[in-house]
Amino acid sequence: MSKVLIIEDEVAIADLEKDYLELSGFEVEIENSGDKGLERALRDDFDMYILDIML
Amino acid sequence: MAGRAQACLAFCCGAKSFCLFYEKFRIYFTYLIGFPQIHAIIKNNIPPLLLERVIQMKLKTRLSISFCIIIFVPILLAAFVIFGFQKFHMRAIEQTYGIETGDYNYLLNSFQLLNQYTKKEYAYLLTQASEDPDLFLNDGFLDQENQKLLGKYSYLIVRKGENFTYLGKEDADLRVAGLPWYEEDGPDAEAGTYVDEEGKVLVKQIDFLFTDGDKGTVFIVTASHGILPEVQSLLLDAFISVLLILLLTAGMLIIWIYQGIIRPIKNLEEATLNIQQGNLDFTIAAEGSDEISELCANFEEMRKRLKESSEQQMASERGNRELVSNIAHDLRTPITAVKGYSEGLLDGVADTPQKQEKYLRIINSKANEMDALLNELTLYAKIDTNRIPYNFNKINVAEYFNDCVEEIGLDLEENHIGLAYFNYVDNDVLIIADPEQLKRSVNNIIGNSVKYLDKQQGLINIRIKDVGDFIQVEIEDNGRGIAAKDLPYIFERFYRTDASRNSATGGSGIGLSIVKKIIEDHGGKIWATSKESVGTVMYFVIRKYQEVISDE
Repeated sequence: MSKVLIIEDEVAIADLEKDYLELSGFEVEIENSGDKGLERALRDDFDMYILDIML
Repeated sequence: MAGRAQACLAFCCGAKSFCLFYEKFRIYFTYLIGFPQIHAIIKNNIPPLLLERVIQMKLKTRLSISFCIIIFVPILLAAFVIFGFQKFHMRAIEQTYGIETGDYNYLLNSFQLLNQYTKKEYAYLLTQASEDPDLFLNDGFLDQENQKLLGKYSYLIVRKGENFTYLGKEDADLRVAGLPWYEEDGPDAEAGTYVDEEGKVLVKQIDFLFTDGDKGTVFIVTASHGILPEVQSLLLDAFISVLLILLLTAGMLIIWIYQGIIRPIKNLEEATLNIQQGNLDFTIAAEGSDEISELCANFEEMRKRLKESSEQQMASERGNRELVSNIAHDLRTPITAVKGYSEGLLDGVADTPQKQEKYLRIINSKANEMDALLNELTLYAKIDTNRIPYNFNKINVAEYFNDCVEEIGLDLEENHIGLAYFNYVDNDVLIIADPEQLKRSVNNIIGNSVKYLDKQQGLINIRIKDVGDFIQVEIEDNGRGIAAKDLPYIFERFYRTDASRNSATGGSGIGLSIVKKIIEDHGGKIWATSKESVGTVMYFVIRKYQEVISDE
């Protein structure tokens, strides 16, 4: 199963994205801030990152 | 003749070079007095009153003085010139004609002048007539004397008995008939006969006897043909001088007026052209303090205003553009969520009833968010253009705020936020305010405090103080606080300390700008102090309602 990290500060948007992706069979994690997202990205391994531009 | 022509030429050259000199002089002079140091030197050394008077003369004064000058100066100068010429010419006439008397009356009376002309010759011929009468038969002698006389517009006629033996001039025949007889009037050295045929003629007569006993008469005939050429020339010179003097004076006056009027007007013209073409930076220097320089000063004022207003317009246009872009941004996020979640429902992503409820709830909440945002915007637009009619009333401070705080207290209690209220104002103090808008403002501030709460136990203090002509309201919280760099901007439309404008962390940023507008429309002021992570205090003042008590 492929892992995806969503870095998005708008909770509603991030949750929706997670629902869509999970339906397509991905394992999804969410981080709600740029700092936390960077930390997580460096620490764990993901197959895809979805990054919001203006955080 | 030549002398006069030369004099005229000399005068003209002189005038021309004077004009050139003056032009150069004016340019240098302008530069000269343009330098502030030299300006200062001149100002210090020349009697200040005089210099100021000249430079700052009002146009009306300048024109009146010009008119006086143009009348009196030429008269004066002409008098001098004529007097001078007179001296010059009189000497010339004296030398030419051997007139000795210094009395100038006869200049105007040509008859007298003519009389004086031939006095010497008359005396000489008289002597000759008594000593050697036969000389008058000598053509050589007669020619000689005649030649002398011709230079003085006179000539000889000699009559012996009944016959005219010598005629000094060709057309003398015409006078012959009118000549007096022998000893008609008696020999008289001073007298002369005035004959008025074809011009004025003066006839002097010497009667004598020739050696052979014949009666002899010698006539000196002087024809004047009007005024003597020398006098003519004097008058002509005087006339030309006066003309030139007038021209010179007029010229100088024109230059003076030009400085005062035409040049500033040309400057104004140039400035208006510049403004027309959009260059609002062209400045006008106002010199002196007359009417034109006032005009220049006012024009300069106008230009500054124009520039200001055009800059203001550009700024407000920029502001509008920013506003539109902010609105678009702030609406985009909720809209995206609504789109996304509704699509999610349609696509069947929400596959459980709980998910479906969640999706619908989110759609609903985002829709409300947009609604609230639009409401705020509408309100702000109305307030900005003063379309909201305020309902100003006399409000009792103590009563009003007591009620307000009670309401707020209930809300805060629900959210477990502590509220402390201190009213330091007397019970009878009144203010003029719109109760609804004031409540809105207070609620907005309290709302902000709640929104930005970051501590376990939230605390809000409300204090109302009496500061002379105003009452001061302070709302203090222990929330997140505002960074020093953001503090100056918090009352600006759409300002968010969160650069990403995340709706979760705050509102639209419009609230405080509305509060500020409301407070300022009440004639008050609003400001804030804060320390990051400690808290924030919002202050605003409203003018008291005070009855003016007059001492009867």
